[in-house]
Amino acid sequence: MTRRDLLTALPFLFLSFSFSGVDDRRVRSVHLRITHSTEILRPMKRVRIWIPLPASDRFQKVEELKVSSPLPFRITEEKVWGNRMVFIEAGRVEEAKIEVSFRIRRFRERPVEDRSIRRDLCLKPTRWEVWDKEIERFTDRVVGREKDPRRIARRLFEAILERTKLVDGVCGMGVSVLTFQQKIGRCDEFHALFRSCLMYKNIPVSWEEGLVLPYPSRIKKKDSYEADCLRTISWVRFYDGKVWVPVDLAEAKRRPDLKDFYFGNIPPNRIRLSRGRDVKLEPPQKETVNIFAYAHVEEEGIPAIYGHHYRNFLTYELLGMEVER
Amino acid sequence: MKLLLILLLTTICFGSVKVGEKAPTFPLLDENDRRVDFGKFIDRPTIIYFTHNSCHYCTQIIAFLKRVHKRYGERVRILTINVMAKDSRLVKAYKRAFDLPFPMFAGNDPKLLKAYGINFVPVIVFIDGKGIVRKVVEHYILEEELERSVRLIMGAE
Repeated sequence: MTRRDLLTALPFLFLSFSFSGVDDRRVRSVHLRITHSTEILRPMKRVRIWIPLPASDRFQKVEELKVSSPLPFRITEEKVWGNRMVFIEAGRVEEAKIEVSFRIRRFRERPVEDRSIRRDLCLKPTRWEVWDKEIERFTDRVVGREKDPRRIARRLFEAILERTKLVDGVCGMGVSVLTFQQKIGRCDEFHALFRSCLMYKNIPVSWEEGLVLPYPSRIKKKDSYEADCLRTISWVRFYDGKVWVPVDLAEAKRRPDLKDFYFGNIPPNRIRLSRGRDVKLEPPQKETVNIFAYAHVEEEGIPAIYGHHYRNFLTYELLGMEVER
Repeated sequence: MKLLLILLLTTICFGSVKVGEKAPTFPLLDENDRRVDFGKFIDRPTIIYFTHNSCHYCTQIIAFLKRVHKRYGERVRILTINVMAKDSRLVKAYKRAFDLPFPMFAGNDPKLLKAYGINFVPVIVFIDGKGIVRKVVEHYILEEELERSVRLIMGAE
């Protein structure tokens, strides 16, 4: 077999070292070793910590999951969405470091059937996604007489992208009416509004939440960064009557060259850590958790302060990348 | 004319709190669970800082604001609003954690958030001595920009 024959036979090309110049649309999967650490920076009393754990699903395979903690912990699962987490409760904590490590093969998301998502839950707005008459009028105007869910979603995708400015370096609250009013936001703001519009049209939409990695075309062999609210990433999947279609409006806004791609595809440069918003953790936390993509820490029932009481870091090592030829 | 144009452009960029208009005020809970209209504090050049507990940038900005307070003392008012806080518990804990020398209010209030258009943090509103909004920064701020903004509101006295 000649080299040419071999390359022709391979449907995908596995790369190991240099990824610059890779077309992000053609990356089928990335294979990573991840370490997520939560560091308690100062003594705290009556502490409770919840750290989200990634689960295997259609688009990510998680292996060798290991939790390392100087404090006793248990793995819990909340009832509504099935999100899993590490839970720690301690009377007093000095400095501590809790590490969650795993290998993950993350695939490009595309429209698929998925019976694990409950459609009824995907029609319920959270407190931040309750829409008003203005959003209804906007949606009606954009959708017109269209009945096909995918075409409705596409029209709303275009209209929201056109009217909304992308902002970085902020932590979003994802309130639909404010996004509509302000016409500015980060991923949570875009997706809250998109979700409200679709739910108003009775189209189920799930909320997916995780931590973002560099684009496949820019990813390094190894890197480490702060994993606070600035590094979270949300996206949605709407049900078109047959399949769940993934969409990321904020990335579509950031990357006009990939705008069409982000309607129906999500590249693998992210780790999904939870589903849903306003998640009631297990055991329940005292304060509201808007999104669950990083550690939630409470001291005496009061949310701890990021950067003062605790910090999170994510370290990745790229083990491989699968690129379509 | 140039100043007018800059103000107009800034107003277009930020849809809620209008640059060039009076800052809206609301009664909010303070660290002692007293409902206080924070408008009564806007009697001099004032910075209103919207923050919450989960944002690293926000925590860093607190350090910058403390330095502003040290430099300018009572000539510049600094008001902080924690949009995560529903009552005094979180506010009190936050103030204690940073030994804050300026007030913090519980800002998890839909009316307040709508009036100021707070859908993310950090947001910093700079108000001159006449209670007029002069600048809104809706992202992380470098200390140099913060200093320039303080001088802007002081110059408008």
